[in-house]
Amino acid sequence: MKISIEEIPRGEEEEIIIRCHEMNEEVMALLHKLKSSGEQLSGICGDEIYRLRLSDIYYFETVDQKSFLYCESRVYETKLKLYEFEELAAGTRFFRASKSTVINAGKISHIKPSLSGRFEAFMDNGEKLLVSRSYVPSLKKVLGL
Amino acid sequence: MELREIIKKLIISYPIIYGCTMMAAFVCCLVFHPDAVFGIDYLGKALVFALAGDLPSLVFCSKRELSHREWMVRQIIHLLMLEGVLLLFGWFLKYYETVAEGVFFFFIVLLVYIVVRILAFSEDFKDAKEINQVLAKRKNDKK
Repeated sequence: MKISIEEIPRGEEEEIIIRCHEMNEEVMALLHKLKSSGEQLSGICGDEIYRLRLSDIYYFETVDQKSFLYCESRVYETKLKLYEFEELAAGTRFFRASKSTVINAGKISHIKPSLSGRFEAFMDNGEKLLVSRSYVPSLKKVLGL
Repeated sequence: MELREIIKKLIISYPIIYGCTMMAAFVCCLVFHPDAVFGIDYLGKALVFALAGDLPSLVFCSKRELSHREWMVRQIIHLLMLEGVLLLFGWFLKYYETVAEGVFFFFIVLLVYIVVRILAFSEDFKDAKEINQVLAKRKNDKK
């Protein structure tokens, strides 16, 4: 696919134009990725509501019917359900890692197999998360393997 | 793992266990009864035996994600159940008849269990290595 970048004067609005033969799966995925890259979510921490960028989220987790967004050093509660977050993050680096977590592969430092038949994902902020073996293909897919 | 996932796993592993049962019977007969002759009912017995070896995997069934410790405990329970069930069925199906044969049978099961775990771990290790290479490359590209 040919990529063209045109620099425009400061006053003009920036835009992305996709020229394609048809709206196939590849184009749709690209479109979704572009739309969600600047996506913002609401997260509650204490009594305050924060706007969070999807790319700043390390992982999403549901615990006892509640959902949480984990960033580098803070945790925010969210009203989103796991499937809603998955839909929102589709086409990005997020992947389903277990029954209750969706991890941002872009924030994983490295992974290690565990004797329990699962994988441990070591995050950039030092946290350690579990990845079920059945979801490893999803991780490989987001990494382009 | 959820029940649906476990059942899927049980269906996949059933023919593998059946094949392993045949191999184990072959080794046992080669050592203890090299002149043994089997009737057609043996094939049916092996099917039941494989099912007995498959069902203890239900111990991993859980609605929520198991912690590392819980998983290890269930792994030990699974091994004990597997040994117990297979020794019991092996006795009823006359796979072994003396204590010495029983002990040999016990260690064959244990050996197969350990080999399967090692193979699975080495496969996971390969996957992890491949994933880590991509992660490292992406981190380097970002810098």
